[in-house]
Amino acid sequence: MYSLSKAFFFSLGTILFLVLSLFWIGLALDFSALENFIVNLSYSKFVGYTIPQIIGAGCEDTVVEQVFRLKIICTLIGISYGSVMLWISNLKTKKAKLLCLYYSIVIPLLLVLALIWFKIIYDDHILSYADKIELSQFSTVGFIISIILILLSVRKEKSKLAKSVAAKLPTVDELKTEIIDSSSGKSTNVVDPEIDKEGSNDDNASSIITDKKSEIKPVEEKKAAVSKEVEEINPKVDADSGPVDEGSEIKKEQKTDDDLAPPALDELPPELAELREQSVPKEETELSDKDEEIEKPEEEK
Amino acid sequence: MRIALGITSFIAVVFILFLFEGICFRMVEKYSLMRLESSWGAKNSVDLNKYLKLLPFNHFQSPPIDNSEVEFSIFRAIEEDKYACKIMSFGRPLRDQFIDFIQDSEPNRKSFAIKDVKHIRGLTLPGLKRFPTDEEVAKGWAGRQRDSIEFAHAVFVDLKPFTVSNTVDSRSQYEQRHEDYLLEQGFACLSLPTRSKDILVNDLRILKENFPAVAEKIICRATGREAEILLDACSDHPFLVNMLIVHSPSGFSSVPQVESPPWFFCSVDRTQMEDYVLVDGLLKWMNAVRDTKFIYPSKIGGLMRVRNSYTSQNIDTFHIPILMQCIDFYKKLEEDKARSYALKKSLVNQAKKNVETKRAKIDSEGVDSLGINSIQSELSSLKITSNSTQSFDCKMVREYRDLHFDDPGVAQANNRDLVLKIGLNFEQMNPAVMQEVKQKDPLFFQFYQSLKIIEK
Repeated sequence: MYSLSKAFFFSLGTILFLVLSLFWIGLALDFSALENFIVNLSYSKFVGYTIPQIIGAGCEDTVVEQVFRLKIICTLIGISYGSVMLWISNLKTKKAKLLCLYYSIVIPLLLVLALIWFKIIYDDHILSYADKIELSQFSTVGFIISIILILLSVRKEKSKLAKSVAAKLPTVDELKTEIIDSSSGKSTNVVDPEIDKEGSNDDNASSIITDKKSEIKPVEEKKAAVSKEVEEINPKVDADSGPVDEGSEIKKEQKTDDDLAPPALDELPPELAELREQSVPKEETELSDKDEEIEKPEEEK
Repeated sequence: MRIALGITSFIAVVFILFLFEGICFRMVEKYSLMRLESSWGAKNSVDLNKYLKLLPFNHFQSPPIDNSEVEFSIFRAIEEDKYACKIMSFGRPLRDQFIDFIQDSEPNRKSFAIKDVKHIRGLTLPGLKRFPTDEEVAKGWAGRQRDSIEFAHAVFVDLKPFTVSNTVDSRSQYEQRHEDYLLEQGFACLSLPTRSKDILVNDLRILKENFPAVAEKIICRATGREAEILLDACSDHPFLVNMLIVHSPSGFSSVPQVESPPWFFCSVDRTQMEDYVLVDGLLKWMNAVRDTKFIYPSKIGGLMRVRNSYTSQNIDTFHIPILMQCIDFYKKLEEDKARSYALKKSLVNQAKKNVETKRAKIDSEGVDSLGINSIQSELSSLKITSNSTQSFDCKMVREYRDLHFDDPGVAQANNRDLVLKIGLNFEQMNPAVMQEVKQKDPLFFQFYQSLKIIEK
């Protein structure tokens, strides 16, 4: 089985690592465009700070030092996100994948927000009006994204039960009334008689009973079908061996239970034939008792 | 699991509250000033808030320890720079406003009155007016109390090199907007060319004489050579100026030997740090200002910043909150002084009344030697109280008075006698003690030496 999400995350992680390797190869081969991009990035400002200053560079650091710091930070971000994507691709459930993806965005975002705010709070840094606008926009967007992702991550999956089934479940009040009624001794039967009595008032309870009955009905129908088949088979046997009583029918059933058919009376030695004749009336009486015992519980049910 | 969750949520809540408080302190000027006043008390307070002191606020940052070794002045200067950043953190919202005002692309410039006094040209007044106080009327600043007088919170004097092209038009956008900002805040502004210490002192005196309500408090700013002139002038005339702002001075002068020298803010270039004699001299100025019982000057009265390419813009705005605090501090002291002036006046009037009634009684009842003695004692006590608090006031005398506050002899004795008495005691104890006293309170030592010569 191919998993689309697995393929997506795996390829994303691989691409990140490839980009990273190409980035360093480009720098090693002195691609001027890439170098210019990094240098421009190190000069670009955010809330009055240059990007290397935000990530910890000192105000007196040279451009070379700042650019190197930027390269290292870019590499670390690439490696960490590449690893996270590969790890996510190996997770089995979709839910776990999404959860990890959300947190891999939320945690760094909140950390960056906190870092910038603490830097602004503790530094002797003056914010102009434009810087304040920039800061408020970044904070608002970051905060909203974080909240949305956190809400998505803590959201519970809805149960797959149909609404109709959920509606049929008895409420706590109904169960309480049932318990009170049963304790007051209105009926010895716990469920069915009460439901029969309250059926007209309580739709939910009656619907459950009808469901139960509907479940019982197929079993009875199966039994009836089986008995019909037995009846269809019996006349054939009767035709072959003449009329037989109920005990002989049971014997036949027992025969069917055993794989080997018993030998005919003619084939038996005389001594065994006598023993058999003696034992048959006893077996018939025992079997008839057993039949009665079996039939009684069915009737009760 | 529940305990771990509870602890985590508690930490998260504390963290969020901490962050929120920090954001408010950084962004909201009113809150930052409220927190400052809660921590340090009123402008003339001498004690910190003992409960808030337990919290890790920047306001309770202790200044760097003074090191007597001159060679270590560079490290001390770097420490001072960090200290200044932390202790002045409450001023950042105000500085934000200031930088927005400076960088306003379409400024709405108001018109202000510009006046000339003798050879001093271009004193810009903020246009504030008020009725004079009793003391001001007594001083002759106004003819009577119903005459309104023009005033300013202070005069900001920007010292410039004495060149021909020193006109208003030649100033930079920053300087123009800086002046506008101060004028809107109620400060008079003056760009004053200066050549020497004497000329500067003379010009400042002219200002004080001609605009007493405007130039009651003077703040001077200078750079390079002018900064050296300014320091030299204030060394000899410490009460002429209330605050000095010096940037990269080419030299320095000795610290004035007074109890409360003017507030001092200086910035030095990174390259100037190698001149450790200069740095040490500036550090001494700072120490002298900080050596006071009042909290505000002891914390922010003397500050130093180290200027580099990155901090240069920040330092250009750094003096604004110090300047405001300095003016508020002096205003508070003046209020107390005005209150004590009124109290003293009423006491004198009361005493005069008493004397007159007693004299009338004596005249009517005849001469009574006991009554005359009591009048003489009342008059002498009035004389003593007026004299004892005026001259020879120094740290040692005040400490001695605090120690013997319940001794009426000390309370009635004037500062002159106390200086002589304490100094004599120290000399009798040990010559080394006097040396220690000299280091601790040089002003007292100076007073004692001069009084001793006079007595001889």
